[in-house]
Amino acid sequence: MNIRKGWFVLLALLLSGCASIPFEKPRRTATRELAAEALLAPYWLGDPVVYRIRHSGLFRLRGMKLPIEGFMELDANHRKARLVALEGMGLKLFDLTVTAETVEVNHLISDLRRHPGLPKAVADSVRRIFFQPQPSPADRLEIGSREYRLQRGGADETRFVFGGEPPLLLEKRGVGPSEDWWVGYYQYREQIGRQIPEGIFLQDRRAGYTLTLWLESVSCIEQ
Amino acid sequence: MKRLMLLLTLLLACMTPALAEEDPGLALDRILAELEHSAAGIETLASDFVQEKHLEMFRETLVSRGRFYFARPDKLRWEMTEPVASGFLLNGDSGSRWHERAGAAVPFDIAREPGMQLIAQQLLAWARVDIVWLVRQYRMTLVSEQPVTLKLVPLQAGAEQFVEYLQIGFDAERRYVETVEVHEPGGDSTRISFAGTELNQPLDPALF
Repeated sequence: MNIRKGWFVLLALLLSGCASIPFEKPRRTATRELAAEALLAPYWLGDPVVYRIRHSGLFRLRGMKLPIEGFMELDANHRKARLVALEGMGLKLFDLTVTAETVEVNHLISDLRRHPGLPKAVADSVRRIFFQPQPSPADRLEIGSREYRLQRGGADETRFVFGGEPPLLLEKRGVGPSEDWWVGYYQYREQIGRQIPEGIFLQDRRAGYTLTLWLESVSCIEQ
Repeated sequence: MKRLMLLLTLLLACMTPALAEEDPGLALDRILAELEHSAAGIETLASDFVQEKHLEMFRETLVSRGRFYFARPDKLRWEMTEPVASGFLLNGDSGSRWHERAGAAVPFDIAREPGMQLIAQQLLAWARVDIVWLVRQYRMTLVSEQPVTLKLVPLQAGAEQFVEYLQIGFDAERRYVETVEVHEPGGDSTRISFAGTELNQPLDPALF
């Protein structure tokens, strides 16, 4: 009886976990022999361009549920982003400049100042999703039956999972003494000549937040 | 007779500029009274709108679309439909808001939500053309008479952090607001243009 109960609880947890990601699960097809360089060739964030992204999303931080709409200019190559979040009537909620090491708060509406961890959480999310860490040909490549994994060690372990045909980045994960987070990339479609995900989900288990992001439209400026 | 004609001509020549150049303060008062009078007969409004948010730092304008409903005295529905469904409704002191990305609608009490209170007060004042309330909130100047366009600078201390000025345009018959521009410090702005406005049509009570 207890085992049955345990299975039921596990199933319920799994189902609730899946339900919180509102995107189609990616199809993982059989893999083939491939070098890391070839795996990274179609990676949209490896291109030397500045992306201009209109997005919407839901940020959940310790009980706070913040729907956002906004715009971002992203230079993944130089690891820099400027993003503005708006509420439905166009009121600016925050305006941040995020680099690999810093976050500059250009504007933060007074209602959000009671959540002092918000700018850092948003900045960490932007870095992890878009530019830090980035997969590299120097990473250790493992080819499984239905996925490709690029990994690097150190105090914390970072893993990039690619899948599908052509293989695209499906997951990033950072686990170790100082971090425990993962990002999922969903619903790739061709935009501006590149395969770009429509949906992104990030969970930082240690900091206790999730971000669900919809990339509504993407354009770019060639550098 | 010739002298009398000359005198009359001179008198008219002197009077004409005085008639044409009405004191700006008096002209504004006259226009505000006309707006208040024209809007007094409006019980309901329903209108499509386009919202253009200009972000100066990106030189980018984000376009959203939606529909607006008002029923006198204090019912509002502000409904964004594109690109993401979101909005709020207000019925007296309470209401609810929703956002496609956040799930089900959440009720709110306006007394406990200063942000919503501010937005609702503004929308209600413009829908009702509540001149008494607006004159207390803004220093107004008349930008043009045809169509009536007003420039409003907030009087409330601290408001200048968010709004430099508003520019409000009325329809040709001066019954309802047709455009709202919110100009923020730093160059960002929001323009809301209402179109296909229906006046005094019955509205489904379920909207509120």
